[in-house]
Amino acid sequence: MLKILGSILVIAATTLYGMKRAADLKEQYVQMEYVRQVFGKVQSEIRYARDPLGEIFSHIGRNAREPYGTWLEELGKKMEERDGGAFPELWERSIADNLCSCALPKAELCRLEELGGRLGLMDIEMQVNTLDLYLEQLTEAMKEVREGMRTKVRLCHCLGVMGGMFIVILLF
Amino acid sequence: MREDRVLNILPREVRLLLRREALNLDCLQEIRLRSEMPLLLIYRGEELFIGKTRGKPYIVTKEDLREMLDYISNYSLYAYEQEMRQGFITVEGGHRIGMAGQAIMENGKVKNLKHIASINVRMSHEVLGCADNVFPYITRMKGLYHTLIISPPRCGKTTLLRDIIRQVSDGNAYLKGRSVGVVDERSEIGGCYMGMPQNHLGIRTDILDCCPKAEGMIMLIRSMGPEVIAVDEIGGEEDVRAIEYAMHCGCKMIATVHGGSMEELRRKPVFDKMLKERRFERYILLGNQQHVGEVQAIYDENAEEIGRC
Repeated sequence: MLKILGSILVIAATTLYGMKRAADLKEQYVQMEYVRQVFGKVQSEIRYARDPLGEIFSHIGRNAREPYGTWLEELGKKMEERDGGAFPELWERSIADNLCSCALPKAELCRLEELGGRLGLMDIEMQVNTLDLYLEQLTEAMKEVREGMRTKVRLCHCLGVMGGMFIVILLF
Repeated sequence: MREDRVLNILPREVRLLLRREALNLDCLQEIRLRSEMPLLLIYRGEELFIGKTRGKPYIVTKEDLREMLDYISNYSLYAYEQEMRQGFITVEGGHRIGMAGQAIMENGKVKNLKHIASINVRMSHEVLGCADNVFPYITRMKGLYHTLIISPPRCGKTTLLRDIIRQVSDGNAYLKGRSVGVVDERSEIGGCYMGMPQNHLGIRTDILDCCPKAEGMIMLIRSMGPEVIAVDEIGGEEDVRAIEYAMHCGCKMIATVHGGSMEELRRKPVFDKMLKERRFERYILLGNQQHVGEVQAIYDENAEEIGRC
C-alpha cells in the first residue's frame, strides 16, 4: 500500500515539474511579447515626442508590468541623477539589478544588454532604425520560440509523467 | 537652488573641484571647458583657473567633454538634434550650453556637430526687481508701451525681459496684471524643464516652449489671447512680420534684439524699417560699462532719449 502511495506521489511530482517547465516556456514567450510592446512604445515616443530616454523610461515605467516597471523607473531616475558615467554602463547595471531573475531567455537578456550601446546617439533616424532592428530580431526570436513551443510543451508534459514512471519502475 | 542644478551637468571631476572651491554660484557667470586646456571660470567678471592643487589648473580631458555631453543631453543626443544645429542647448534652469566642434553638413547646411572640443556654460541668473527702474518709462496711464530691449551679448537683456514679464503678469504700481504670452524658442526666458518654468514669470503667463518665434506668436494669439507678447532675440524678417501681426491684433510687444546702439539697429534693414514706421514706442539700450544690466538709455518712438537709469 505504502509503495503504491509512494509511486503515485513520485509520478505526481514529476508530472507537476513537467507542467511547470511547460508553463515557464509559455511565460518566456509572454515576457518577450511584453518587452516587444515596451520597446514599441519607446520607439513611438522617440519618433513623435523626441523626448530624452530618461523621460521616456520614467513615463513608460510608471504603467509597466513588473519587473519592467521598476527597471525602467530606476533607470530613468539614475539617468536624471547624472552621476553614473556612460549610458551603456548604466543600462547594463540596471539590467543586472532588475531583470536577471525575470523569465526572459538568456539570449534575449544578452540582446537587450547590447541594445544599450546603441541608444542615445546623435541621429533620431538612427535611433528609430536601431529600435526597428531590435524589434525585428525580437519578433524573429519569438517566431522561433512559438514554432518550437507546442512540441516542447508536449515533451515537458510527457517527460514529466514518463520520468515519474521510470523512477517508480527503477525503485520497484 | 537653481544655480546648483548646473553642477549636475558637469563631469564628475569638475563637479568635485567646484564643490571643493565652495564658490558662490550666484557670482559664477561662465564655465569654459576646452579639450586638453585648463578649466576656466568667469567669476565675478574675472577669469579664474581652478585645479586639484593650488596654482596648477585642472586640464579638461576628452573624456570629460564626452561625459558632459551625456549629461547635458540626458544621454539622448538625438533629442537635441535641432538645438545642436544652432550650436547650443538650454538645460534645466535656463542655463545655456554652447558647443563648438566639427560641423556635419548636409545640402550645404549644418546638420549637426561632432567631435565637440569646447563647451561653454553660460549661467542664467534671475534678478527679481531688476526692471523696477524701467517701468516708469515703459508704462503710461496703467498701459504698457511696445518695448524693444537692445543689448550686446552678456549685458543682461534676457534677465531684464524676464523681470518685465513677471511684473507685467503679476501687476505692479504702474500697471495691473495682464495675461502675457511668452514664445521661448531657446528655453532661456522660462528655463522650462518638462514643460514647467523654472524661473518666475508671473501668474498670468503662458509659455510656448521651444517653439519658433514667428510661428509661436501667431499660435499664442489664436489659442491663448494674450494682452502682451514677449519674445527674446528677434532677428529674422519673419519675426518682424509676426510682431507686426501681433501689434495689429492689439497685443503689446516686449522683445529683445542684439545691438550696441540705435545706430547699429538702423544699419539692419529689417529694423530700420521698423524704426521708421515707429512700431516700437520705447527702446531700452543696455550695456555693461559699469555693471551687467546697466540701462544706458531709454528712447521714445522717435528714437529720442527720454531717460537713463
